[in-house]
Amino acid sequence: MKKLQSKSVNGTLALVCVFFATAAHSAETAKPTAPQPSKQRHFIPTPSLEDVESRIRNMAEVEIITVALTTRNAEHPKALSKEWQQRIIEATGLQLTYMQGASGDTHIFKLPKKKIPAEAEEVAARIRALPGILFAEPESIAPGYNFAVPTDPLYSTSQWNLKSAGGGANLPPAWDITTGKNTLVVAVIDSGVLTTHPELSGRLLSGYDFISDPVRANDGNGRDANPGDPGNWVAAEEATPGCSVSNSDWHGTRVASIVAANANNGIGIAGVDWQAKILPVRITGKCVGPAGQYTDTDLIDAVRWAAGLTVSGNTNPSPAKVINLSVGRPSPCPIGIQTAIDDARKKGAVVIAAVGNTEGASALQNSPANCNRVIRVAAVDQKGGLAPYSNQGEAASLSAPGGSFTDLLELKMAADGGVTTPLNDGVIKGDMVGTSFAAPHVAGVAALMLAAKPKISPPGVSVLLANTTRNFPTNTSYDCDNITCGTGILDAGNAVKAARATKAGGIYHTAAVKSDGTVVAWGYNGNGQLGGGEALGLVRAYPGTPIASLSNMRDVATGGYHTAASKGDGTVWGWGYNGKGQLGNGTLIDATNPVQASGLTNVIAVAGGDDHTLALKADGTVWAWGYNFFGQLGRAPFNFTDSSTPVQVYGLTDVIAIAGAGKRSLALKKDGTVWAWGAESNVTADNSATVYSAPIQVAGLADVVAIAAGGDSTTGSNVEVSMALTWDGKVFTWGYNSSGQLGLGHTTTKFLPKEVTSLPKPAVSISTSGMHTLAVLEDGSQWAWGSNSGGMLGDGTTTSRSSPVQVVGSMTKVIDITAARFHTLALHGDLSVHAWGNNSGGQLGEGTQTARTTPQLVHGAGNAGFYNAGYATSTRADMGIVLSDSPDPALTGANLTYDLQLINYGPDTATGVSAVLSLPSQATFVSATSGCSYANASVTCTLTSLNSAANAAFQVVVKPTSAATLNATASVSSGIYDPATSNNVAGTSTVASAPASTDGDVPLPAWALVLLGAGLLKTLRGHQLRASS
Amino acid sequence: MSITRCAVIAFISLTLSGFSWAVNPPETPTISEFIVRYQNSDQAQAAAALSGAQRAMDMGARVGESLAHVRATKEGNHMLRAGRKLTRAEAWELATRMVQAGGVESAHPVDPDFDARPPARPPIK
Repeated sequence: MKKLQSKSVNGTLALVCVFFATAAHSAETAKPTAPQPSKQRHFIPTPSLEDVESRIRNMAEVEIITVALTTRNAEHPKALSKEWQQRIIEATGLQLTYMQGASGDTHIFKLPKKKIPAEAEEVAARIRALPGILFAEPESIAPGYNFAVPTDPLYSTSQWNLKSAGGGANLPPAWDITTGKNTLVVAVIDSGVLTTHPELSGRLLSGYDFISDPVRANDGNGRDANPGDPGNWVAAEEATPGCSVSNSDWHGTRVASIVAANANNGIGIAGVDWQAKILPVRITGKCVGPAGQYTDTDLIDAVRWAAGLTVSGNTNPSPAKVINLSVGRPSPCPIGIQTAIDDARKKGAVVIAAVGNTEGASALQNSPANCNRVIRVAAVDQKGGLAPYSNQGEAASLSAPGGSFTDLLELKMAADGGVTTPLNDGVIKGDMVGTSFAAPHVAGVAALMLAAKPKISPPGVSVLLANTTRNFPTNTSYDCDNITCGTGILDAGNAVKAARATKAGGIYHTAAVKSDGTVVAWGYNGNGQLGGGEALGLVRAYPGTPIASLSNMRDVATGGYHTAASKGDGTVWGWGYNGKGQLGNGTLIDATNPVQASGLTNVIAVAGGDDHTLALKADGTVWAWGYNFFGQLGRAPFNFTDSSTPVQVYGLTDVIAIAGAGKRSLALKKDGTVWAWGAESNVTADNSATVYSAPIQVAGLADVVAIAAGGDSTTGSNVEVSMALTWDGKVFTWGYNSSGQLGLGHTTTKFLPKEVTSLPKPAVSISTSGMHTLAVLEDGSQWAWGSNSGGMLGDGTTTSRSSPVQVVGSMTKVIDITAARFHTLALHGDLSVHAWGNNSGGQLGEGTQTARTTPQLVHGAGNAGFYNAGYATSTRADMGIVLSDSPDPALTGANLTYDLQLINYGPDTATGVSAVLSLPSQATFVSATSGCSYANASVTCTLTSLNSAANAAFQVVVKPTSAATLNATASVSSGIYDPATSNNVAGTSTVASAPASTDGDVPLPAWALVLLGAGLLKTLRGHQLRASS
Repeated sequence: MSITRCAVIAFISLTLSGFSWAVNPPETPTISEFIVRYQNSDQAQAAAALSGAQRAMDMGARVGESLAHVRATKEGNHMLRAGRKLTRAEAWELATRMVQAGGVESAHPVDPDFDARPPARPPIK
């Protein structure tokens, strides 16, 4: 067979072009021909999307209707009863065939013959009219494809996509923190994988092939347990409407390799995550018209199965925490897909989807990216501009490297040399770009974040990814902004740092884990709770230096007067007040330096009660120590004995999150249920509850993804409040309500969970002290309610509120919020921390002991600069850069000089300064001043340090090679916290033209020009004299 | 096995297994006070009709325990005192009976040792 060129498809509207190119191809000989390679993607006439949709609307190809009852139970699917089958068939008046109980307790009916979409919708509407029907919808037949377009293999290998310049995802700082965790599973729902590819060796789980149609599957059967990719080439004789001749693209292998290609193995490329396991789930195969490469039914089942839900009796033993969907079709989000995505989210999975490859079209054009609760990823090119093929719009969550045909460097991925069946030659290719490959960058980073902090909820992952992005650079081929490309460019370094950063507040102190794994504390050291061995009674109203004996810390929690932190090695350390044994070291002696909790290993999270401490082990068990007067240790029924060493919470397994209050504790199980023990955990009514000293399930809650609790262990202090966040962002509160801390608009106690309905958007982060209650919403805004003692609601007053009020100020991009007893802490996407509320112990960390009613930036160590969780030091720089070029205009073949001026506007010395100049593709590097080096079309200039208010200059000389507009961009960064990054990028543009032609004339020497000029002047004067006479 | 040897083994076993016993000796009953929070309707009823002492006596009759009213707290709770000292488990059992008797939102025993060694607080400025 003649080798097919894999670059025939128009990149601008790949879906459309494939669809309409089919007729021509099908008329040709059965032997595939080699289409002409083309990079003129923007200049090929393409039919409109409306034309495509019109044709689809008139195709009688729909034969499947999916139905769900209102009693649907995704966890326990069962076949539809005969009565229901008959009721549905009678309602339609058609001889429908009940095919099967599909995944998620949905059901598939087959029409007696294929219908056009409008007719099928009429049938579905008749079913929907029946009482007891949750939804009924015909299967979409809009063409669905992987989001990839081919390109020419012209560039040398370099993984710009993983670096910090331009559109790169900035992995190196993330890898400094974690390279992943081999127990985390990322599902790649795609074309399957090449199981023998060396870049995926040892990284693949068993997976599954969900392709029902044997023709599409191309492996001789329908669904089976083999997710291997047999190839998806379409020969001329196989071409159907919407499906032109094409080579196998090994799409799933490419996507998987971006997530997890083996690193440090001496070959090929590195993936984003070096440890995570890939779960290959196959849904796309040969393109078969009109539905394209996959069907929604297969996708729906694949999503559910990947997340751990049983599909047709088959349960995935390794549920994925991250699901990548680099597929899509132009269609509104079908209810069936939305339901499957929501089911996956309820199981704790983060779903990430590519927005599509239709230039100029909306990010909401394609399903599943347009479904709710999906992280939508647009593509940027090497310079960080919107990739020319990418769908766009503010609905995009963020952008990530997808590559472009005009990039200087290709986007390298694992693939295969076979154009039909695989050769299994283990090659790396750089011949494709697309949003398909942007999405897995985000999936890989999500896996890294979860490795850094397993307890992040799916909504938390979403907001963390979106709010830690890097600003879009300017002077690109298509400059992005928040309206076109989402919040910014994926920045793995920031995202993983933010995931690692943790903070907690006691009554008079605050403690934080920085992204480098160190712990700092500030506030009142009455019992040693600052942990640095300092004098008892010290008030330090700003962060101290990191606690010397602690490194590689994973989590931190505070009680009223003590602090606990877990280490990367699974041990737990505590310091401060120990009057109830809350340090867990077998004594009741306070500690001014960290002491180890006895016998605990494999701990992945800690939580602080007022006078007790909780730890979550990797095996899903919970351990507790300290005060147990209210049964808050959960030792056993009727056991109220304190313990100064860790004891296992009675009968509790499969826990994924814990929370401690004053008299009560909470746990979240992986099935989404919440369990409580201690005071008022045994609830009989909203106004009647008793103690229970062992875990008991909280009634009225399901599909919870995060919990919070707060309270005071002092008898008679009725402020115990518990919170739950559900998969869809609903906030529930229950407990005492004397200050309106339940947020229900009144002050009546409610011991059973109640939804806080007055929040304007879904929430992503929750916290409560028992006194006051907090939520971060998906737009990054912060809301507070309850007691406002000392101004801890942050609304500029000290008035308590029984309904949510917005925290004052323009703090957008907040990713996490924490309620300490009488103060509040917020972590911003730039990794600064803001604090407000009571400050009598200096716990706000802003240098005073004055209460604040609005957010204040926490200061840096030694009260200098500002605290930042992402930087080793707490000083502050403000780097700026100016870029200019000369001469302007430039000449081809002549030198063009770029001047880089670096300025430090900040108050502190910047160290580790680095400026990167991206050269235009139409120029070659000539030279640069000392301190600069050239590599891969970029010049990097470095400085060891740059003092406050000081400048530095560099020059880079290039030579234009062709007449063109030359765009160059430069960026500057340093190792010091830079709170104002808007001036960290600069660009310049000049036009290079060819030198003027002499046409054979001999140029006149300068002296001759002077003489000529003098003669002309004399002649002109003579004319003037004559005219005036 | 001789009785002496058996006694020695028993003694050693008790000593070793009783390590936790040594750390946590059998609890001495010390608890007698309870914080009781009546349900809203009952609070109103209390204010209108019954004195704290009468309500405590009524509660005691319903739970089969001698209870006396000590005082009302500023949070609107009522402190009651039982006629005998109780262990934690006994106290919570009684507290549970108070709630189950009806009209009570919550009932907590008071830990007399809670502030035996209180944590330090910053000086008031």
